Amino acid sequence: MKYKTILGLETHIELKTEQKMFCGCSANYFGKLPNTNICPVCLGLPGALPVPNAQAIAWTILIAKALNCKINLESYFERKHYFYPDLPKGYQISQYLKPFGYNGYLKIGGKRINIERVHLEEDTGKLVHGQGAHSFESAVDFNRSSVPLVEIVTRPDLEGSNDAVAYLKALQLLVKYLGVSNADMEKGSMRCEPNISLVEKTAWNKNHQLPNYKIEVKNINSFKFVKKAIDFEEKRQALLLDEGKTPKQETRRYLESTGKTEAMRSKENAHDYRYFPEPDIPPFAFTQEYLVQIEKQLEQTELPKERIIRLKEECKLTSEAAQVLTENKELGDKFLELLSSTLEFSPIDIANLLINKKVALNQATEQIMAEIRKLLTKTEIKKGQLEDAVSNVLRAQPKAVADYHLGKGNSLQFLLGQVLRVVGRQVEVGKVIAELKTQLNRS
Amino acid sequence: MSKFSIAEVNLLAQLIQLELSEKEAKLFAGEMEETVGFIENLLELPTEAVLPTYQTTGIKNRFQEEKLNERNLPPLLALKNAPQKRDNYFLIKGLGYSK
Amino acid sequence: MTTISSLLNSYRAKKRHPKEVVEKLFAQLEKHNPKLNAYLTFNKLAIKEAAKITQFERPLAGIPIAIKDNFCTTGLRTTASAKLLDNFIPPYDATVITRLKQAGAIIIGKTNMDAWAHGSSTETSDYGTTKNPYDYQRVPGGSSGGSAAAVAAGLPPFAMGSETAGSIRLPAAWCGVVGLKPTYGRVSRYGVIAMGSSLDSPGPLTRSVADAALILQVIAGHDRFDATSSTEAVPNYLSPSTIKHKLTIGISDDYFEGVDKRVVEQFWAAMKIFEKLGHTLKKIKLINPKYSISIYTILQRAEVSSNLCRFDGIRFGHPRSAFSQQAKRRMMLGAFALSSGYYDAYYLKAQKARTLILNNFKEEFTKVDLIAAPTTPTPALKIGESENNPMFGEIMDQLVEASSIAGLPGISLPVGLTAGLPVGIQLIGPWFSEKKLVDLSLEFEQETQFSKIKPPHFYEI
Repeated sequence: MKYKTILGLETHIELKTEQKMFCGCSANYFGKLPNTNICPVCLGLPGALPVPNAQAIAWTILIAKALNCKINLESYFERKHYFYPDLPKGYQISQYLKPFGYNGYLKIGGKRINIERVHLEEDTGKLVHGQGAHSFESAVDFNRSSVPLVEIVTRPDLEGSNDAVAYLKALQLLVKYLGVSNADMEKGSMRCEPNISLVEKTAWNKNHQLPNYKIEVKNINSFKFVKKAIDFEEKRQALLLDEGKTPKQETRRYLESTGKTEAMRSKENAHDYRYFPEPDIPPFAFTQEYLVQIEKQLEQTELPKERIIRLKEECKLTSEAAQVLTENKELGDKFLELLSSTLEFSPIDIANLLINKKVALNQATEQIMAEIRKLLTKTEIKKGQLEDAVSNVLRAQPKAVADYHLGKGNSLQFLLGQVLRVVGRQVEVGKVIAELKTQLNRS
Repeated sequence: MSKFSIAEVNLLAQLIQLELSEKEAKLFAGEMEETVGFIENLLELPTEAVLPTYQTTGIKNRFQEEKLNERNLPPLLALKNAPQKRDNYFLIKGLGYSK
Repeated sequence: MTTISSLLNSYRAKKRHPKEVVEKLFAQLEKHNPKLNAYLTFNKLAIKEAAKITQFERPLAGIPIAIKDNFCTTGLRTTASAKLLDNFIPPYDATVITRLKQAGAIIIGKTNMDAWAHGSSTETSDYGTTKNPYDYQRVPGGSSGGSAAAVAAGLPPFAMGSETAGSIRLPAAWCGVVGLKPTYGRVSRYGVIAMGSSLDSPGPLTRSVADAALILQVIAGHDRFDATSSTEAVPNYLSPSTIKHKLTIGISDDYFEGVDKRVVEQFWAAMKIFEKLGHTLKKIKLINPKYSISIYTILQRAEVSSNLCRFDGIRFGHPRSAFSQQAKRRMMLGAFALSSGYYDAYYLKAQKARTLILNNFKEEFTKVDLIAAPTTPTPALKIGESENNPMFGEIMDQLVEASSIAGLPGISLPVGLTAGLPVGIQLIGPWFSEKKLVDLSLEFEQETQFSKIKPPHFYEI
């Protein structure tokens, strides 16, 4: 590849606080009838004033700390001005010069993605477009207006769509484990805007100078589309660069239907946000004690990397099982809940049932346990049956037997599997292993 | 030295979504020049050693103290003043925003 | 003379009832408001509300009050005197309104103002100017001109106004009434259509000092819906005077530059009275008002340009094309001051200069208890006189701007007439010194009996 991709991600995470960012309306707006979840403040009525949500701020700092950021103990909100129908005040209360968090990082695999800033702002309403007879109409629903939104901006350290997806998944998981957001891309509680440009590899290797343009892509609402959009942009930009042209610096929109990006109307590109400190909201001066409280909370929260260790070491699960139960937090939570309510069954067995979707989880714990009990209770096997099954298998697998005597580790596991195939998995595994060892050591 | 050409005045007006007539643009270009000239006396004040005061109250760390949905507006009231509405939505017919 | 106390007493003694008071008030307004143009909207439910009152314990029970049209009132049209909002009916009450209602006050109607409060004469109202009850050829001042005119004419003698810089004190001076601008943060701004967010202070206009104090008592205090409202305790403003020893009153020479010599004369006559009352005058040095004009112009217009962004014609009001020229003028300069490339030189610089103003006051208040100055450079202007100056308002407010920039409380008191026109002087105090201002003003009022001065068109309710 002639070009190196310079990629940065701007992610917005909707916080699942009880109330909105600057008023007491419910932050849980999903599924509500339009314009029923509003008040004078989030509707931007004349005379209305914002009062900040303490929990949203605490959670923003929690996220920032989890991302290894430095924290601005003295901070404030600023007004970011632009006109759009879904922005009731004609400005968004956001942060600019002094974000709550800055200079952090998130590790994906061995790579360190630097985080420039973590700041807090309010969400906008939703613009909806008419259908059918009203297809030329646009309408606004302000239910979502002023829900708390955390903005996380990386430095352009990502190198392509795989990095992007890995980063987003890691961030999503982190935020879920912190308990501050559902971070669901399809539902809009997590949104991502990549900033992409390409630079010729030889030029980059010389002096690491960033290219003189970057393209922002909006309207992406799944990990799959993140990959598609970035891949498409890479190709599009490469073609232009090959022709000796510099891609136009602009904001483009991803189109699900075609898998391509298109330029947005230039009106939306020209912005002088005229930032200035929000006069309606006094500044913040956090104490060390406050920060220490949040750090304690972080310490006491099990993060993904800690859960995976717990699952492997305490619960003795395999790496694969541990990974599945970590990445699917709800499943992992269920697993740990079930485990804590019984000593009857081995963690591995319960884990396998959950991972392989052998039990319906949308029922009460007692009912789940009952099903598990049914599935895991070993059937009794007559000694003679077992002896026969084992000797048959040993006769049929001379190589494995030889391997066993040579000390090769997996041979026993393999033979066990072969026996279980015959006698069925409901048999007491320990008994089978014991019989196998007896017969093997005889031969 | 003119800071305010008619073109600049029109750009600024566009930025804050104001439509100016030709007459107004001309008028404002002159006035803004005049006003900016007047307020230039600010340069005489020694501000190198001071920080800006955005808030005269000195208040810090003020947070919400409100019950959930305390000020919620029922739909009838929320949309009462809407110039264009349908099915509980605020309509923006004719305002030309892209999808 | 009718005051809040005298009305309450007559109600309690069953000599009068609010219904009758309000009915007579409306009858007078029907006759005089068309010419005076103090009111834009009347509260049609006022008589009914007045009729319902049977108990008179509450501090403003049955007291009629006029409200400047930038306070949101549920179900009652609120326009800020702007055509853009000519059909706006708020679905909520400003906190000030809630507190007035809880105290039993009867809202008579919404008064005229400079549109969006952008002015010092009320001429820039989209509904025509209000007349000055002392001379119908003249303006009442602004932006709370409608309230000031109503109070001057006794229709009724109690009103709410608001001040960003001068909008209470200037019209109070030009209409010969008391205008109290509280400390920024003393009274909640929730529900007041914002002009300068870091400056706006709702406050009363009345004919007597006690009435202003009574209204302040009801509206002052922390509001959880306004993050800039202070938690400072609200004293009893009408408790016996706290002035145990005599006060030192500071006067700065810079505050006489360009002031009409008749105003200066009246000012010194008033100062003699303070001396007669045993107080001492002392020379102090305040930063020249010409700088306040610049600081204030930038800060106010910048915040204005921002606060008017929510008027996009989607959820309420008419489209932005309905803005008057004055509003556009202010927004343009404001946006310029905030725009990329100019922010540091203008907005940031003005905020730094603000610190200098604050420090100057802090310094001078270690030497004096209160500061006195003329309220305005001239008495009321003729209608139309202000038209050609794009900075008219800010220049006319030069003597009140510094205290507004600093968030300090100030009160304008009528001191007499000059060529038949009222002149006002102002007392400025340190933050949250309203009690001291009230106490000294009461002394002054007692001595001068200024409330006896009435305009040719006056009605005693």
